Amino acid sequence: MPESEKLQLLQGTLDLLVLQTLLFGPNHGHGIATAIEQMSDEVLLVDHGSLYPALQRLERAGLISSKWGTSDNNRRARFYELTRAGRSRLTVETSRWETMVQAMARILKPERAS
Amino acid sequence: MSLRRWFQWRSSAELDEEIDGHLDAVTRAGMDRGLAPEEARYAARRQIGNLTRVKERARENDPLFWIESIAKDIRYALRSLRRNPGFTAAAVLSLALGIGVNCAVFSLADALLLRPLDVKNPGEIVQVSATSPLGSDGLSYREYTTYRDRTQTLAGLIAQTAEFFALQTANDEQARIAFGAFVSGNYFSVFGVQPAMGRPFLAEEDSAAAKDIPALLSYTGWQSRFQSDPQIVGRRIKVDSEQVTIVGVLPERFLGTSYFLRTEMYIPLEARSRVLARNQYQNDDAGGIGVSVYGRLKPSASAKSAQAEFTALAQQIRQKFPDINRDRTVTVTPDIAARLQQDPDDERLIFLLLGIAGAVLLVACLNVANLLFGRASARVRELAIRQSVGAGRGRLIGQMLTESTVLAVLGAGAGVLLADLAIRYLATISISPDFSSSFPVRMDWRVLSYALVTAACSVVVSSLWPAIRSSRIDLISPSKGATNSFRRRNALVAVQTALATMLLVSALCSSRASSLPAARIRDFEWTTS
Repeated sequence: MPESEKLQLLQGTLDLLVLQTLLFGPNHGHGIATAIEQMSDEVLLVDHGSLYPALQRLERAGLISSKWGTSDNNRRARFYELTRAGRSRLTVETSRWETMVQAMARILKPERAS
Repeated sequence: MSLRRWFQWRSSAELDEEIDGHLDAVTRAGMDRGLAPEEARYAARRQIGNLTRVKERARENDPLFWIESIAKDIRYALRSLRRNPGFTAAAVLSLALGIGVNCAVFSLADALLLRPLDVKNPGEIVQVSATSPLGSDGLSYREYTTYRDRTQTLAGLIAQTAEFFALQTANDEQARIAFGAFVSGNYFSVFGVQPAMGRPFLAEEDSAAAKDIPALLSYTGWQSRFQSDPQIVGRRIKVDSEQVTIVGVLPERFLGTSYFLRTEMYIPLEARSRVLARNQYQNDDAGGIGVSVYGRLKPSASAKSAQAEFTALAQQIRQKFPDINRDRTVTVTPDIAARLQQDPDDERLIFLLLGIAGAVLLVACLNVANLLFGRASARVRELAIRQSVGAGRGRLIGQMLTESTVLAVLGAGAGVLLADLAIRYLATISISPDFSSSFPVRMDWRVLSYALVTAACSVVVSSLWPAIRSSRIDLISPSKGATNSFRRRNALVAVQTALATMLLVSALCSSRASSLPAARIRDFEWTTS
């Protein structure tokens, strides 16, 4: 997929995607970004500039925790992990997101929803 | 929990390492796709964007980052102020003058009007006064005893009369006029004041039949009339025509309720008619003398509930003595509020002085604003460079506000020193040569907090506008708009001159008004002689 067709993330969705990615196990910043892009079939583009502030924000909120580890190719990297609070937040946010998407769909495609 | 999180915050170095590692990983991913190393690194850089900006954004989440950046700003401000000693001296001097004058005037206002009484829990003290068709006044002694014996809302009710009398400190000395108070026996216990030396009045001394008349000296009275004689307790002196015995000296901080004139001596109210027997105060009906009345609220009561009770009590008195108490109402007011109401002249004078001092500060701030404008146009180049290397507008404004804050702190420091000098001087001014009548001004935390407030105001007034204006720089043609700003600066000079003139005029007018307390004392002397 060409770079120009990739979508910038909607405001506020990055946190949710980060939490979802970490559901599959601890990962480092680059790994999280790659995972989001791959899982979205390369449709979504993660702005690396907002990724690290988002990680810090989540960590400060106690939703993820982090420690130094070694990446696949034996490099030192900081690994992030979901906390229990993060897990329950993910459930809440996911259902809110679904409600949101359905509502958006009802408005944008009214004939199908009725 | 939050402390643990605090320690989890990573240092800037760690964050940098993490982000560099990320860049590394992206580069390697590019090489895996078959790009040449150089190309891969370039692609990675492009994908991540401005690396410094990314690191900065990650760091901005850290509160330590803000502390660091403020510290950096302060260092930068100090350096740039040191490089411009002329500007710095002019601005600091200007602010010091403005803040100093304000503190000195405030200390005067505080001493005369605003400072609570120096007694235990001053917030509980209320004044009780009566209003009849003839005007507002104190209570009669008889009214006082009635309220004192019946009140449930007040923990104690005290009465006093302020008097001038002839004081002869030794047999071979000439008698001099002195200022003192006759006070009810419970006066010091209700105010919660213990003598610093000697003993308080005894219960049996609060009686017209007491054999010996006791007297307590105020600290000023002890200092000025008896040269701080440590052996003073037990000495017999002559007040008007009676011998009284000094039983103690009160602590230095206790100034009583009189602010202009220092009370020099306290004598029980019951002894009043004996001591003053020879002069026009003689009154066959001891219950008819007028007294000023203060009370202390019980913790459970408020000025409002006390007022309700006193209104009901006044109603009872009116029913008993209808002819002299018709249309007479009694008012219970918290002490500070009562003081503000009682002396409208003092209040006006003091607020006039505060207004003038405020105007001085405003002029000083405008002066500093003017200097800052001048400086801002001189550093357009510097600001333009800082902005073009990526300093945000908020950052530039923050930097300039820090500089003004540093100026204000220096100005406030110098101002407090100036105010201290002024206060020392004010304290030596004697309103009347016969009495201890200096202003009870002093440098204390109240004055210091006022200095802090004025300094904060001066930062806002003097620097916000210049900072905002000069941060809005035109990167391309810095010289544009110069004529406009010249016009504005001319307007500033005009305003400054106008304010200074106004200040001079009002200062001249008030110099007449400020002799007011002295005039009042002269009237007093005249009527008592």
